[in-house]
Amino acid sequence: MRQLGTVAFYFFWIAAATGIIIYIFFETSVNGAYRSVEYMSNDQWYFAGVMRSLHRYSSDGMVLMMALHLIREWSFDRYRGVRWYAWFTGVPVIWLLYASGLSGYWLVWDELAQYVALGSMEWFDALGIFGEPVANNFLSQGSMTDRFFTLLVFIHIFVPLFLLFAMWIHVIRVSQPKINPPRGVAIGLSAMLVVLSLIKPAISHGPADLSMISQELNLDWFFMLFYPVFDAWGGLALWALAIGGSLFLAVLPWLPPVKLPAAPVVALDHCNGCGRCYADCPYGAITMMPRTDGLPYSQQAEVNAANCTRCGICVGACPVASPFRSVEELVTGIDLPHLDIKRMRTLVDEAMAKAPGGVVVVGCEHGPKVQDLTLQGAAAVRLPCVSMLPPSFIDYMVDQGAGGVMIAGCPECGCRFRYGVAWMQDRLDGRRDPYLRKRVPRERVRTFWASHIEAEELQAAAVSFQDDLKALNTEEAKDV
Amino acid sequence: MFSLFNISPDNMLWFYLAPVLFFGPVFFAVLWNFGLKNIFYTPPEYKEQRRLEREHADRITKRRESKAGYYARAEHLATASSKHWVAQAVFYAAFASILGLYSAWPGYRYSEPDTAQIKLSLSHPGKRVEECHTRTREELAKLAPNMRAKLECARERWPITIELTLDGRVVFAGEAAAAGLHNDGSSSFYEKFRVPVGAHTLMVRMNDAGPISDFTHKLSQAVELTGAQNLVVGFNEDGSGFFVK
Repeated sequence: MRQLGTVAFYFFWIAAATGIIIYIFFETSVNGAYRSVEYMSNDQWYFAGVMRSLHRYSSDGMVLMMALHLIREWSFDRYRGVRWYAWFTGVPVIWLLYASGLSGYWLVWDELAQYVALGSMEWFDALGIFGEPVANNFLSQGSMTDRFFTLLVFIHIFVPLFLLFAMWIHVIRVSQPKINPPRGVAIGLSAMLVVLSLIKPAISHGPADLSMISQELNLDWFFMLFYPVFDAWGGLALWALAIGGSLFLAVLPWLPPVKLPAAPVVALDHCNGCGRCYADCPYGAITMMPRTDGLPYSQQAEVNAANCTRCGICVGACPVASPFRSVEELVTGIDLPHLDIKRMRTLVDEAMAKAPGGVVVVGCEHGPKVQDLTLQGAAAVRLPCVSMLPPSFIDYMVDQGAGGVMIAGCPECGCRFRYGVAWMQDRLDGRRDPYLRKRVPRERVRTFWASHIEAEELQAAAVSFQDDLKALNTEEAKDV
Repeated sequence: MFSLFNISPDNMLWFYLAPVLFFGPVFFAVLWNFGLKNIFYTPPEYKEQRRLEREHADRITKRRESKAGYYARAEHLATASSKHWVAQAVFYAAFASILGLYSAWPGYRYSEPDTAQIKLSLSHPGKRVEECHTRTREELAKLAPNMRAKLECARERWPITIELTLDGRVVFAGEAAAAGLHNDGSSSFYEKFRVPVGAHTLMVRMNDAGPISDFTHKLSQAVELTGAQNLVVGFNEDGSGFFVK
């Protein structure tokens, strides 16, 4: 479920590649279109037929993935605030995907194509903006020309290109966007589509005949859900539904608008322009600018509040953010005004005071509810994102006598702030700056990635950690 | 000029290749500057950064292998079991079933076997609201030479009214205004009616001449409709008037 967007992208590439292959076999003429598609499905079933089925099912899969992706992002409240842009630009993607798919169905020129073509044109005619009804192009057998099919092919090539462009716009403001599924998922999906294409190949209806109307149709419900609605309610009602629904979706990020605290501020006196906050920000809210204060560094960080989610990952990335610093006023290079590093150290100190020698559980606002943890010898610290915690704080806690530190964040790949879990794991594993120092015994650090409803699992993991720490303490006592 | 480069439909290779050779680089240059270079061109400093990251990751992996248990234990690192593979197979099978099923099921009945369709589809300009006036010599002389059209016509046209009856029963009666901001275009109708199959007497009448009591065009015809037939009632502008096919 975390790969819905990337799978949609992957299906697009499959549809594009198979579309190019199908085009080699396709004949762009009134009489040749149906004949050539039948040739693919019957005579060339083992190659062109499979390609046609892959083309069909990958397109259907894209609609399904898009719908699930939309529902998931909505249900997890990942569409407001700085995420409005991706949500908003996703609305034209829906229209373009439907236009791409439906224009492809026309090309088969079977009964279904006739139904879709006439339905689409009659829907446009309902607007009353054309001098003559465009549906007249499909009046009778003689009213279609071969060149019309050339036009259809162009539409079916260029609309998907516009779709790709819209998908690019959709992810353009996302820092390090993931548009490819993991290799295993890609292989699994490809195999699944091939097997499905062999078991249930895409087939056509009877050839289109404008002197007849269709009786029974096997609609592709992924794309043609709205045609029976059009038949039942009429064109204007469907326009109202389509435009009203699109507008509603488009303005949803502001219903109601999200309220955020103040954006992070850069303290130039403490910023050496290392660029780690820039590299770690999941939303591209930080840019590196030429130095303005005369200090001997080439760059300085600058925050674009409009792109910032206030996750604090930049604070965790700052190498200056150390609780060991012996400055009178504890400050760091970049900090959240409402939860600065000084306040963070106070929270950590309070937690350690609550459970002396026990486990400090550092959680996030969207993962397991660490504040509800009721366990003797354990105390919780809650931050916007676990990655806001600089690794030096773990060092500090263990150094100051905490028995162990447990990092409890969102499920992997399901991080509210995209890379919070990944960056924290990388910092602990020494793959990403700033690292957790070697001197910190790793047996005293544990991670737990889960959703906010997994309270029992969190409790169990904390108990298990406490047991392991007890055993460790006993072993260490023996060694001494 | 085309013959200079031997470009003609007779020389098919050149006919298709020449525009590609000429416009291709221009098109590519535009796309490249538009953003393609950001996709395909990796700056040297980025390459260097990637190289350093790879080296660092390799060092970490080696160190990890030599010091098992040194790094933080992650609860999530579970090994794939047979259960995992079964769950994967079930998931992909369910996904494929949904795709295969709803791409062509359930069937949708668009029309019943014992019904046919009559489609009234026509575009026809109504008569002008004001008759054209033939300009006199004097009037023509007053105009600029390039404006001396013999007829002076107002633009507005009457709306068209149409009535379609089947076996004496009115199936459709409507009026359509002339298209355009000045109502100077054609009036259009596009209507569909489901009717029972069998023999019928179809009559269609049209008035395109404004406020007069009678219809200006008529057609009455016996038709034999079969199941799922789509009978088109249209209008020919060549003077033959209404047609049914």
